Amino acid sequence: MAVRGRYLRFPISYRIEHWVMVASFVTLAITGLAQKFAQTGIAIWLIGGLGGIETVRVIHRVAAIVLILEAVYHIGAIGYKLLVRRYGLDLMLTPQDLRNALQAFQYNMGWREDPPQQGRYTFEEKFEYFAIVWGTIVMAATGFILWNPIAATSTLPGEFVPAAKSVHSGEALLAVLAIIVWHMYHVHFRRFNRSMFTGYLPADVMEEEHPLELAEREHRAASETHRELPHVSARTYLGVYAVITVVVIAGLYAMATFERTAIETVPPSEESVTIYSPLHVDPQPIVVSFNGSMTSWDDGIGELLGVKCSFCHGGSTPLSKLNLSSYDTALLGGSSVPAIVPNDPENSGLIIEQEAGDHPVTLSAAELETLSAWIASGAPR
Amino acid sequence: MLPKSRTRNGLSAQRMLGIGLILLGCGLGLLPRALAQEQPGTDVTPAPRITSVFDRPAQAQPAAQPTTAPSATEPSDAASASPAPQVTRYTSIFDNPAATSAPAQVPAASTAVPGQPTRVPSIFDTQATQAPAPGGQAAPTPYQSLLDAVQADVIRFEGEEPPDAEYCLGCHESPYLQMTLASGEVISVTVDGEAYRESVHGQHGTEGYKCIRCHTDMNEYPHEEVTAQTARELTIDFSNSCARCHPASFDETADDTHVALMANGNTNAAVCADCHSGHEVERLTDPLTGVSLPESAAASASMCGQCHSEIYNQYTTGVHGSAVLEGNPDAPACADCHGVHSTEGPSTASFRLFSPQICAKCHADETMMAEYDISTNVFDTYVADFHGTTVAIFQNTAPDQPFNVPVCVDCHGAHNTIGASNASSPGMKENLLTVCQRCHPDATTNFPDAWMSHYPPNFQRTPLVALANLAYTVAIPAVVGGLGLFVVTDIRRRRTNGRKDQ
Repeated sequence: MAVRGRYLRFPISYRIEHWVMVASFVTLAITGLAQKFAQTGIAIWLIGGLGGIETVRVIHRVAAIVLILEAVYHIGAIGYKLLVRRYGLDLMLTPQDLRNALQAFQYNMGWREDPPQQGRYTFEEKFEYFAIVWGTIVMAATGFILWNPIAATSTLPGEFVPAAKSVHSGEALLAVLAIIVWHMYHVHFRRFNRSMFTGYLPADVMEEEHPLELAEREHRAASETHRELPHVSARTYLGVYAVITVVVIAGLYAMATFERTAIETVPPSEESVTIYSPLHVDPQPIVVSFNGSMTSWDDGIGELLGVKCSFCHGGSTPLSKLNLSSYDTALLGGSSVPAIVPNDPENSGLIIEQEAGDHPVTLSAAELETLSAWIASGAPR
Repeated sequence: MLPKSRTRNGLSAQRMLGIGLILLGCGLGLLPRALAQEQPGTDVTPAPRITSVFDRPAQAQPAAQPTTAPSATEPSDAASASPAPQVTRYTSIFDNPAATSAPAQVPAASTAVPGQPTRVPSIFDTQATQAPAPGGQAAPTPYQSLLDAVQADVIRFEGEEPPDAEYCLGCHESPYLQMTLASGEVISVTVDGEAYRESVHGQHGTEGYKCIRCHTDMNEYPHEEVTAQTARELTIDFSNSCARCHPASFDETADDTHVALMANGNTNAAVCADCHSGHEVERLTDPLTGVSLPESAAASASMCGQCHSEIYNQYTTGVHGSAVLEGNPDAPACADCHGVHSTEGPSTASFRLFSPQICAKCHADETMMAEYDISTNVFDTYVADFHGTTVAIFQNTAPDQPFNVPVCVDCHGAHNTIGASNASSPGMKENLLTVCQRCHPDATTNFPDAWMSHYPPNFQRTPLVALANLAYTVAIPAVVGGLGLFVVTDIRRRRTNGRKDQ
């Protein structure tokens, strides 16, 4: 089993699991923290670079699905080792781990001269493993609520949604910081541990970090312990596991498609108001009609001309010197043609001008007719 | 990537100084509508309401007045300022200079007094004045053709002193003046002289701006042919005359949505005179300080209402509109949100996207909100929530992209916003589900509680959220600090071991 000078630590299946998880975790962390700290320059740059917030959210959810699938596989693999292969639970936290941690701290502080002697999985590794187990459960549960707030609030109180958001956001930051401080230090900075790349640890590292495992292996005791668990055949186990996996995948599919209106909402309703609704159009000229008989100047003609014409053709400086404000001056005419030629409306300037139609003040047809008739009848006073 | 800068100016001094200068010949101003009434059965027309240069002191029927001998006249034309209060008629350039009476003995011959329009004797001159008029022309031969008469009697208003407004109003106050345009539209060319005299332009200096300042092509009588085909075209053409005196305001309109609409061929789009009127331009700012007058908010809102009457009616029912109408200086008029002169089209994705900042301009202002007991957390809590966060991200990354996340107005309404304490307010808990369901039709009873109602998390209202926040506020430094401590001690021990080995 052991190649000379090095010991197999992570078979290829472990390493694939690890890297799948690295990929999903990093993706989740980047796309998630960008949303948590959305106002920062780097988040803006990142979200813009990834194609906008909608794309970022899709990426985040895809990565979440990958992580959950990995977790489902991992549970199945653990169960297989436990029930079919009947391996011992090297990973389980024990009181010894707490003592080891305490001893390690004391050793580090110089209060003790001997470091803890640890087995296949050190307390540092167990802490990290269970932190991830915890984190994945918390993030999946709160993530489900955030993904499906309408479904969630059909049974849970509404406040669970913002609470889930707080937890999701806090746990994310905690997980990322823990990974940076703990994982990075122990496997990258303290000593670059290549076992996740190569699968093997050199003998000196085994001796320092996993002395008990080394001792066990040398006594060919391996890690196998006989436990009082029911023995399950591989066939049975895989059959059950396949069913569980199908159910979980169906559940995931449901989770991803459970509700649409939280994501693809109905567009906000447009205001049903006419934008252009003018109060009034351009003012129209005032129409005042004189429609009586008006047979003489004093019987209305004078008043008609007085109201409609004398504004300009009247007063002290009548326009065109035509003063229509009194009978005498009206008959006197203006500076050009005579305005009123009794008995001859066709040669009366007043009629000619009005019939041309472009005078600033235009008489109505009825008024013009009456006026014309008045002139034709000799323009009586 | 930086947030797009948006400013939505209120009725700032500069903006309001940009009151349009249009003096429309077609008289966009109010016409004395009373005159439109016809009195059935009688042949009598109502007397014109407008005070006119032709009005006789007794306000009698014009026809009853002697016209051959003007009774009372003022000395001269352009030199005459606004009428003294006791004078029942306006002095006019039409008045006979020869018949001077007591007040100011200006000789008829001295028509070259400063301030008087230089003009050739005209058809306006009466028989009596014709002789002493300078450069007096021969009396026109009677029985000329009309064309001859027009050509012979053209008067040109040239020289440094064009005629003042009163000169033009002499005719244009007549309520019956009209003009037929090429389109066949008959438009009124009456100007409400009283309204003009009270307008900003009419109040300028001692005698107001002269009509010719805007009506530059009206420098002779008979007037030049109007080239505009329609009344609307005439109005639009006149906007250019505003630019001559108000270039800054005119330049502001370069980005204006109305201008853009007009450029796209929508002639309904507002030009200067549509808001500011042609002849009745209101004063909206203090002439000395440039600060908006208290009444200007309501005035400017009703300006917008001229074309956007439906929205205006909604607005006046809302909490902002009703406050503006009551004269509340804090409440926003249209321009406070939409800008003035450089109004942005509010139907764009971008306008909607940045609209929360418009609301925040006032609603995050603690001084202003304190008076109304309104929370100033509204913007921050919005941005902290899923909707607001998304909107903030869109603002920074995709400012022009349509999006489906609600902004303030989607829940609170835009023009008909009502107070949150009002029972029918969409923000009331009882109404909130309906509001949520507009976008999330499947939402059920508990769903609205997912929204923390613009309150920051606290143990009274949202204990779970507050607890979660507290837990991680403690847990993150505790855990990470603990791990860090281990790491630091481990490093320390390794260094010590290293030294020992050496």
